[in-house]
Amino acid sequence: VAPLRLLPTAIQLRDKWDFDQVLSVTGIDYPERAELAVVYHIAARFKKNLRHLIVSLETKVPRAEPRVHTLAFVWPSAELHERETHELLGIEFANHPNCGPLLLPEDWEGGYPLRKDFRLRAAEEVER
Amino acid sequence: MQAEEDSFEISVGPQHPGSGHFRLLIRLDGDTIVEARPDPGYVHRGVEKSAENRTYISVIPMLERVCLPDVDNQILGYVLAVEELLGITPPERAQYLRVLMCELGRIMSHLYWLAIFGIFVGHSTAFMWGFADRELVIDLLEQVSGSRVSHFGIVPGGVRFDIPEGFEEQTRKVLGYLTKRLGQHDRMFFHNSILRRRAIGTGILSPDEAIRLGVVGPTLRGSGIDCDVRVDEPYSAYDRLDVPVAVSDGCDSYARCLVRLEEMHNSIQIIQQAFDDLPEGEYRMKLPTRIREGSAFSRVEAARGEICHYLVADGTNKPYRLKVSTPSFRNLAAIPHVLRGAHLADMPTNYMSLDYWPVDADR
Repeated sequence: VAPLRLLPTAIQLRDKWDFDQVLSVTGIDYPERAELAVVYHIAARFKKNLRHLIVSLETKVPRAEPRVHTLAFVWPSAELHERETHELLGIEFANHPNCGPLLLPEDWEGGYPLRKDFRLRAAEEVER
Repeated sequence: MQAEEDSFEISVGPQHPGSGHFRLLIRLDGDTIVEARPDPGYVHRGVEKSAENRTYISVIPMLERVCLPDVDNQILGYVLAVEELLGITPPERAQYLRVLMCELGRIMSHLYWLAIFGIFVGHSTAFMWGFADRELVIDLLEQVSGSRVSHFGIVPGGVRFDIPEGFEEQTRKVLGYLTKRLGQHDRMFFHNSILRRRAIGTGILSPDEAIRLGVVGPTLRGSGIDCDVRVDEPYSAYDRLDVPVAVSDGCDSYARCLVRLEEMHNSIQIIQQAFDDLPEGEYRMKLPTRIREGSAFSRVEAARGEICHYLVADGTNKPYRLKVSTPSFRNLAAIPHVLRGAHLADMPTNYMSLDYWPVDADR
């Protein structure tokens, strides 16, 4: 979906289709297209007949201004996943309740590790 | 320790409060917990990034390190995603052998949890017993794979090892012994009056809250929701086996403990069924040389809960992006919730009842 359609679609999924829990939030970097993708995987827990289904909700944002609205108010289970995605890929989640550092060291200044232009030292040494 | 008006804050960890480096910042009013803030990340190893620099096969031994007490379930999830991209279904015998390894892994992981729980609440007999019994399961898996903990047993296309001669007989013997032992654990640990007083009625997590916060696995089932991927969306041979789901609607710390105890009994049953139905034949197949472009999503029920793997492939021999959504990371959201309002002395039972594994959460 388009970034602006993300929030209304999520609300519809929750209220109309009973999808109630976020399983994972993945950020993917596509530098050659200058895009970042965000993928939500959502499951239904309460409704037994929907348990075998998973919905994936994907949106693409420009790499220069990667900004989407948070879904943490729709599904609180998305909160930590979004926080991690923000930290490791630099995607802004507008109105997120708490987007502080989570996994990386407190004094981290290395940028966003899961972006493709972040190189592992080991990989650089192999190429040399 | 920091004082602020009436309450003060203590820091639990980060030096290994029990199951890996992790810090809990707890604000207390008297001995009641007002707020608990988890601070993960001390064992973050960048597994997802490293995976982008490795070939599909060499990701496996590294990915095992995400959750060492429970490697086979972890790897099965990844392998299922790779197989979906390759478009292959492994032979029938491999499917059953995978179930065998995964269920033995589940017993191993739950016994490990029981042992660590014992040491957390000062019950050192449970610690000794748990580890002693786990050793028997480790020995079994060592016979299959040659290594104690990181088996590298499940690979795309099947399993790397068939079971050795006499394995079934010995496993059945060990399972018989474990059934007897679980009864003793039940009397000794789960019926211990001190543990019961600390665990019953504390760390309440209602079904609505459990779903809202996103918890999975035994923690979710301890709140009365009978969600189990092995039944909801069966993989491997689980749809051909009778998989009982352990649920308890107690919603407290004790309920979560009972779910794990029952799950060990259930795993023993599943393993016996798998041996009864184990088909003959190949256990590994040849793989296509190329992996297609695209993405695959898989989920498996590990000992701590559902593990999701999302794999994006660009047609080269390395994953373009691998997302591992681990159960401990998702259960992290429940920690502040179950600790708020509890006595500080109940903190170990409430924390351990989630089976939160920092190494699994940080990746």
